[in-house]
Amino acid sequence: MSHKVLRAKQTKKLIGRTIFYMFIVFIIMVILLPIYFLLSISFMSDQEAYDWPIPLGLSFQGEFKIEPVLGTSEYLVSVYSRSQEAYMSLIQGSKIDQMSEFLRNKTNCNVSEEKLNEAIAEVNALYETNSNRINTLTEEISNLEKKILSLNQNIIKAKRNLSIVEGRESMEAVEEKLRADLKQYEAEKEIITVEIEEKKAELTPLNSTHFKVFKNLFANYVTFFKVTRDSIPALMRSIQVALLTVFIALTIGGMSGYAFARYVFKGKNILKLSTLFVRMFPGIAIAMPMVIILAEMGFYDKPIGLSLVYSVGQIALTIWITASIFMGIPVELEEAAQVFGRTRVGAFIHITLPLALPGLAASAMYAFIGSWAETAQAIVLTQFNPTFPVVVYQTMVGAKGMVNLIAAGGVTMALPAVLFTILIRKYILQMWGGVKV
Amino acid sequence: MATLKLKNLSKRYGKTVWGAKDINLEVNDKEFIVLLGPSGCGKTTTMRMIAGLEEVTQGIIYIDEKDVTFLPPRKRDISMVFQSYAVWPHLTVSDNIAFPLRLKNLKSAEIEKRVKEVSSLTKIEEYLERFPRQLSGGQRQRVALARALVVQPKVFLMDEPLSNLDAKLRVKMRTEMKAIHKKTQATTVFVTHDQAEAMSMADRIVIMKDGSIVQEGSTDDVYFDCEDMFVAGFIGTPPTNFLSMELGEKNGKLLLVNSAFSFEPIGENYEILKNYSGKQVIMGVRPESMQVFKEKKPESVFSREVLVTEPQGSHQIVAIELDDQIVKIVAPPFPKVNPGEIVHIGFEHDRIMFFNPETEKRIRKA
Amino acid sequence: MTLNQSVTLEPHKSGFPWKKVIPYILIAPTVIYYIIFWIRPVLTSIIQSFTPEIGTGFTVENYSRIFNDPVFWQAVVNTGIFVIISVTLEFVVAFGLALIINKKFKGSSLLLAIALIPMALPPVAVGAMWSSGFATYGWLNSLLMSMGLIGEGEKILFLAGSDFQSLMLIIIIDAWQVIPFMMTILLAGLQGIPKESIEAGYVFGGTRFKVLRKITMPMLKPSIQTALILRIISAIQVWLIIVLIFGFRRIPVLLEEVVFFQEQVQNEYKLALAYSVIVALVVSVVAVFYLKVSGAFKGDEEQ
Repeated sequence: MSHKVLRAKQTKKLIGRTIFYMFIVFIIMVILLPIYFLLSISFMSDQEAYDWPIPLGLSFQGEFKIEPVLGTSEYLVSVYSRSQEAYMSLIQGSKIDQMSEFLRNKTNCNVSEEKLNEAIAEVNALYETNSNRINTLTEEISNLEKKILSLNQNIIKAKRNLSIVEGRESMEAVEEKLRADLKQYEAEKEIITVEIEEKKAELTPLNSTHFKVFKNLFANYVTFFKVTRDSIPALMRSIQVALLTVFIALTIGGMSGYAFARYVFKGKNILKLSTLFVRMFPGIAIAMPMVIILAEMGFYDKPIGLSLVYSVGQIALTIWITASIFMGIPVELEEAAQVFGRTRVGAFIHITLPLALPGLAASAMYAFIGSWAETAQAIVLTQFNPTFPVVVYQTMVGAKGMVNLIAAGGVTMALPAVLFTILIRKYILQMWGGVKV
Repeated sequence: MATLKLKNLSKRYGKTVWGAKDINLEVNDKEFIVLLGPSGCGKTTTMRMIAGLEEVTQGIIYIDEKDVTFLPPRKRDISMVFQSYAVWPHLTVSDNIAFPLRLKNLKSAEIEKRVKEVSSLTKIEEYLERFPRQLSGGQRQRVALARALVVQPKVFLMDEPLSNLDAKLRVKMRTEMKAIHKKTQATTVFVTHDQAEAMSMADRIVIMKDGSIVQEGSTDDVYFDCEDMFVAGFIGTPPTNFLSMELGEKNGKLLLVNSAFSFEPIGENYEILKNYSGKQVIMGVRPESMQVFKEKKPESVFSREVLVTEPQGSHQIVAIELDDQIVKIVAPPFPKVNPGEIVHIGFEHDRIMFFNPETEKRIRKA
Repeated sequence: MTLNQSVTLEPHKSGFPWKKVIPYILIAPTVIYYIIFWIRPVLTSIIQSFTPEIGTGFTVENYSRIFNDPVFWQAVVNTGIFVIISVTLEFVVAFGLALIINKKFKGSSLLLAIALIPMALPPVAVGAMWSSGFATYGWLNSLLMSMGLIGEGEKILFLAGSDFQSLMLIIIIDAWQVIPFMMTILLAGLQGIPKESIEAGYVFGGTRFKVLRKITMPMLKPSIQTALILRIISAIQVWLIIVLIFGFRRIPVLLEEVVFFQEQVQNEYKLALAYSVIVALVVSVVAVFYLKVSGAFKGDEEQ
């Protein structure tokens, strides 16, 4: 009896756990799915990105079909669409170089001219050897299609008549016959349709050839940097600005953070609330007058000017983070070093600094992310030398429609930020919640 | 080794708060001195001023007759064991110990030799290549001790070094540290709030309260010859019993009277109290200076019902109630005394201390 | 006993009070930096907002123009709706999730790491993600269709809804970004509460709700406060994501108007400044009000 109760309890617990984990998985899915789609769109070719519905999985190669267009010297190239589950015509033409370039742009697959030539040669050879059969098959198919046409007419006629006689008492016999006819037509049509399918299936490998080409996954990224004005210098500039900001924030903010952790002094609370104060005045509102101030200093539209403005917010954050880092290092360690022969500064450099290093690195990364992602102030503070987020922003606002290119820009922006954040997550949580995880 | 002298040493926080006030103290060569007091009494502040970690508001510190008041810690020729050990987590045990020596630019052979010596003295030779996080609290404590010993300083400072250890280990380390002191003969200042620790280790105990020294002397001095009620109440477990008495006169003889009993001060006590006739005094009696009898005896002064007893094995503590106050008496383990029993109580008269109720100071022979 | 007799000594003059001076030396660069790069531009903004676009002199014309602009009032309403709904929604959902998940389980550190990602994404990345998602032929409709939730021809026109619906869309995007992070903070806070104090609540007869109200929430207060105040401040300053998804002046909000006049319109610099001063004022008032109500000022003094 008690055994049964125990069993029931265990089952209940198991169910509870399963539901709990399903819940967790659900949360993770909600968080990750949009990110996954951004990523996968950034890897998609134009052809895929504008297909409907957008394929959910990532593909690594394109499947192409090439066939000669009868009666011309041109060839038709189609690509397999996973959404439509069929080949979609892409281009018809005879100029190999143009076709190759078009296909490359459209599908992100490296369809070289040689590959095309090879495929054409193959399809031509195929055509030569099977020309008789192809001709008969084509003829047969066209005959069958004609039959279907006439059958269709019959069906329509029968249906019309049927609708007239339907329901009339005296016409029951007629109705019956019409129904029988209709049934027969449709049966015939079905047979012929199947026949056409079979013939086509036989024809396809005879007059067309398939080839697979690997996709260049990073084509969009390359294109993004090629297409958007200035993006590589902008990227370098962003890194430069971020490094400068890290340097300013860490030296100035780190000093205050240390004072914060180790000393009691007047105005400590005001400084502590400075993070809040600094955030209250919109960054963009500071940026506007800063244009003039920076211009006076000769720093306008230069990386140093941007980092000077970014540092205002970053210093405040750095004070918070570094203060908590230094607080975590007992002051006795420093005092012991002083007792055993170090100067005050020496104790800091040889004891506290090495111990604080991981935390300070985290703080540096945090400042880097903040500066890297900053968009609003950069829009105001740059003119001819935009930072990378500004370039992405302009592409988005200015050139709506290049979904996969924009996604590539977005992912490029996001990558370092996400990477650093995950690396330093411990410190971020500590700073935000004031609690250790 | 050296002497240490503190002259009018004071530390003020802000405008009015005194961390230490007018401390005068001389520590002799090779002496083991303990600063004892409740938390916040200024003992750690005093030690930190000696170390140079706290700025001195007023007064002078001499080490070996040299004024070191404004020298940074590293120039004072001291070493210190911190309460939290302050063993550097990013250095191995041997690097921790060698740190002070390296800064003195000693030859590495010499450093190695001294690290070896001191680590065998403190029994940590096996852990030399480990990092502090791989050690237990007790082991870390030994590392801190070794690091402090290795420099062979003039003055050796210890700030509650045993307080983070568990009770058993603490007692063990006491003995070991005393042995080490015997070997090294270092002039030592040891801070603690644990009187048992102080009494068992000290050559001389300095008791502090509210930033000032209230009494200094040997263990026996501070135990049996208390300067004031604070010391009498602070030292000893259970603490001294304080009984409020009035000094009356009857038939030309002095008589100590309270609501429950009265008795005549004899011998030395008479000499002490003869000028206090008609005044209120506080009588301090150590629990073991009182006697419990099952039958009425000539020595017994009064009788009372036993409230509770606390058997301790080697002795028993008998508690009675007197003037709404619990009085504890340490009695021999046998015969067993039971709660509810009426017992007769006497005093060891030459162990009684008298205090002035207003100043709380000891009343001494005029 | 060797107690020396007290000699009167005046306080030391030779000792420089390093301990008192050092902290001020250490914070001096920060203070100077703030004066130059924060207080100065702020003051400039405020002063300049009272001058005409061309020429000098005192004028309130910038402000009166703003207050007479119907778009401004629309922006106020939109911002208000956004702040109230988004902050409430984010907090309630995040807190609920944190309570549900509040136990140590396998993969909890993975969840925490993942939950930080949305917050780490730069605004332009978030914009790219959701503008491709909410497009009629975007991934969200594709996903819904492949899950069988909508059929062919039932595509949801996310971006073509009413103003209110569009605002809700922004709130959802914002929530996606903020909830996981808020949840993580609250979760960390919850796990920091000693188990005994919650258990004590139950032992002494508290109901689940009462324990939550009377013990858990007060103990979690510091975490809640930091999270909420920073959230409110940044919620009032929302704009970039709106512009990235909808473009300028489709769903006007306060800060978006500042950028609009600064970037998109010629010669409205002073008007933009006046706008930004108004935004700063609104943020400050709300923030101070929140801190007063929640008693955060007291908490800071205690620390």
